[in-house]
Amino acid sequence: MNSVDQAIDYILSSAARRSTPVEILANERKNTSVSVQGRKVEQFSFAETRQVGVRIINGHHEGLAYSESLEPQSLDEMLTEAISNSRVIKKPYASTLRGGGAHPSMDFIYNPSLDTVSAEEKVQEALNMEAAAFDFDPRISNVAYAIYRDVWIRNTIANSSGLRANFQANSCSAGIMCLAKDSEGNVSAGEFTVSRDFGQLGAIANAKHAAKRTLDRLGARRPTTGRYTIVFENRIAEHLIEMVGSYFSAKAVDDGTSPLKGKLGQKIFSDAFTLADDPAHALGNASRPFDDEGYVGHKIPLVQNGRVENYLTNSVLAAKMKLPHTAHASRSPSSDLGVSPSNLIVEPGSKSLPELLKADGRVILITSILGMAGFRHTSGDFSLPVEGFLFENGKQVHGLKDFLISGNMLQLLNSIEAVGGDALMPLGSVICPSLLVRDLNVSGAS
Amino acid sequence: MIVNDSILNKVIEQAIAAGADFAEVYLEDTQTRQFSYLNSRPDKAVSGHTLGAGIRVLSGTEQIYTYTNDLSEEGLLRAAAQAGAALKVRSKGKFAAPLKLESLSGPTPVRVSAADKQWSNLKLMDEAARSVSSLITQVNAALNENRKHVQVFNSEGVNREERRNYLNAFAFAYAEDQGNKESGYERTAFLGSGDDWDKVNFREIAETAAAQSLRILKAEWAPAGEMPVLIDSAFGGVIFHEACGHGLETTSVARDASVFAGKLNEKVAHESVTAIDDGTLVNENGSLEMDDEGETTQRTVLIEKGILKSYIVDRLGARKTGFKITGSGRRQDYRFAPTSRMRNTFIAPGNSTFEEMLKDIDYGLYAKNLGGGSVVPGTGSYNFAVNEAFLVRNGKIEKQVKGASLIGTGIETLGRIVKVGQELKLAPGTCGSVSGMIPVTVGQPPLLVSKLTVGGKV
Repeated sequence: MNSVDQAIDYILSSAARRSTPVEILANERKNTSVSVQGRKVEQFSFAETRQVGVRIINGHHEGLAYSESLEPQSLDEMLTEAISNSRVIKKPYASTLRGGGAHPSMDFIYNPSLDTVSAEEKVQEALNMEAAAFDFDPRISNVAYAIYRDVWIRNTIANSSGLRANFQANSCSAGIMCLAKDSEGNVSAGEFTVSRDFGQLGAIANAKHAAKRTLDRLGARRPTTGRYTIVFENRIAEHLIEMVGSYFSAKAVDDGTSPLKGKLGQKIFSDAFTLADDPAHALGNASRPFDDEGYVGHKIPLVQNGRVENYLTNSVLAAKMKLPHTAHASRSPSSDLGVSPSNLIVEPGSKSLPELLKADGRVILITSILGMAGFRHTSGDFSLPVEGFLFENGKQVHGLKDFLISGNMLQLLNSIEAVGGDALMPLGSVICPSLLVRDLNVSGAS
Repeated sequence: MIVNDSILNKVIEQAIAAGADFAEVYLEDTQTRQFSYLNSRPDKAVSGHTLGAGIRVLSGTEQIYTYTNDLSEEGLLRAAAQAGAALKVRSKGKFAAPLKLESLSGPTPVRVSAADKQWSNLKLMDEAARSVSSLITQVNAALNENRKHVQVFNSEGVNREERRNYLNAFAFAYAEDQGNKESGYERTAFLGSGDDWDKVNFREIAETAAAQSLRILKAEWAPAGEMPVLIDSAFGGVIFHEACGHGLETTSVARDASVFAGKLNEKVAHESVTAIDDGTLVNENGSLEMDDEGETTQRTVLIEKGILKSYIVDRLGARKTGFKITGSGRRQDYRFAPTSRMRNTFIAPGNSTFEEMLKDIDYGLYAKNLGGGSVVPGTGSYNFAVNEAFLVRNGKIEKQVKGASLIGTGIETLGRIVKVGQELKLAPGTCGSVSGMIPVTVGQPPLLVSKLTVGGKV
């Protein structure tokens, strides 16, 4: 069987013969990756793959299976496995399959011109990026990596109730990490950029920015252990919001694993904090015309001036928990039905980053989180390794390294004193400006 | 075999003719079954079939990699032609006639276990965790079986296949008291057949997760700042994995982006430290018969009495650095080109007793149970989370504390390991890096680090 569409036709027919209601998800993917090292191509990688998965729904019973082989025998085995699995799994509430119907187009998530960029242009972009970093200043001693990537996806959903819809999306990205040496060893800084337009990617400007920030880090020191006023730079603030995104999942609330359980309607965050989820945001990398059950979503307020307004739901949890159906079903061909945010958007404030950095005589700007293992998802407690810069009276003094920040994420969002107005085109699915908090624990030199 | 030799011969011939000096086909056919239990009932059952090929061509140190689900002759030849055409530097390679297929298999024959037995084990875990305390409000238990069949066929005559059967069981327990929530986690993972599930103490896994969640729930915050840290055995070995192991992979060393580059045969650690990366251990999570480049796995002494003895070397890393391959080319699946990766990595036992090490601490931390971590190889800055820790004062354990991540830099920390304990224990883990997420083992005896930065509250 040559195409995913043919495989879907085959599965629908086969399931109908077995009198089994089925939902099919198929993901097709093409991607390219170029990494360069020492002004030469280190690796050029390209690929074309697909995966098809079925969710068998038989009353309260559900079973899942997936396959990367589209041979009829493999597809039949997949259906048999899913049916077998469904005999064991009995859900407390029955899922229903969405029927056929129109879906809005979302043309902005697919840029046909990106598909026409040649392999040579991609390789040159990666080489130019690395060269821009090396040529920026002779003190750039090495480039740890310089990578160009692009991806095209086509997601299809079909079911026994007549739904059949798909969308395609593409984007390209570039990332670089530069190194420079000082008396204590290496310092580094990395930058990433994402775009749906190859011409707008800005990989070279990105590389120069990484190189400059690396040089700014020369002579970085450890801060003394204590409590500090902190500004999370916009890119880092995106990470913080991403960490708590799943707290708004009605599934996590229903399972009792979200600390937001029982908090609906309560004001538990700062007045300055307003958050929404928008699956149709023009800048969002998670924009999609429909969710993974085929339902069309729209902008949902999650937090309004600190008050929890909504949880995100799929059709099953909306019915079970008697909540509005927000169309945030998420699953892949290989995973079970759940709930996930799409694009999370923090409402910007009015202050610029320089204004935030003048909030106190001494302010630490956090510019990098080095690892996420120290975030305890269930409680929101965190102890995270970070890097940044010390500012005194709004002026950058020196880089900071080898320290941690500690606290609780819910308390941190409650202590936001000001939100900046400097949100960037997101790297992932969060749009967030810089955030100012006071009195955060910093572990560094004794 | 996954694809017959005559097709693979054509693929390699085509790649070599295009100007590669080395060509390789990696084939993978994996069956997975995942069962999970939530809300005290079966929650999820997923069966999966992963099938694909990765084709790699090298010309000197330039690497072209492509992968596809299309394992037909036409699909593989098309991918090989595209890979060859993408080479910027052309070489004149030779195609050594491949040997007859050599079949390797994991240390035990593969058998799929009965699903009904799996569900009984999951029910047992759910009940065991909940029986620890009425404060346990949720349990998520899961069993995964992953039957992986890989074949490597290359232009140097390698034609080998291996079957690896991974078993993985874990439990998350959630505790709640007066509006505060915490979770505990325990897992086991190893190579084995379906029959080997009988060796697993499911009750102990669940009870450990539950007891951990309750202890963390009641713990106060760890102190902040620099102090001596006694790191316990087993998963404590993640400190070496992060602080040192990644920096010894030729992926970083060849780029001169590792603090360990150029330090072979130099003293990089305290003389009490000997560290080994061993793929030959029976049934451990990171064990292999061959690596994902078809090389026989090895036991590699990395550091001996503080002296750096070897890096972790894959094929491309060997070309770039001139070091001998250590059978360490690994990848998550066919979507990733192989790179140098750790297998079962541990610090060898020393002479100190636990009590001696504890006694050396005036004010510090005993890190009993560690979580995950990461490292920036270029700077050597590593970090890892501590799930369970205890404050130590005047050589005695005083009270449990939470929220402590630890940071340091690789070489500096190795130099600060001042005592190594006697009892080596291993623990399974999953390592993420350039070539994806792979099963590994970490391990160590208890060891004392004279100074680390602890991320707690002031």
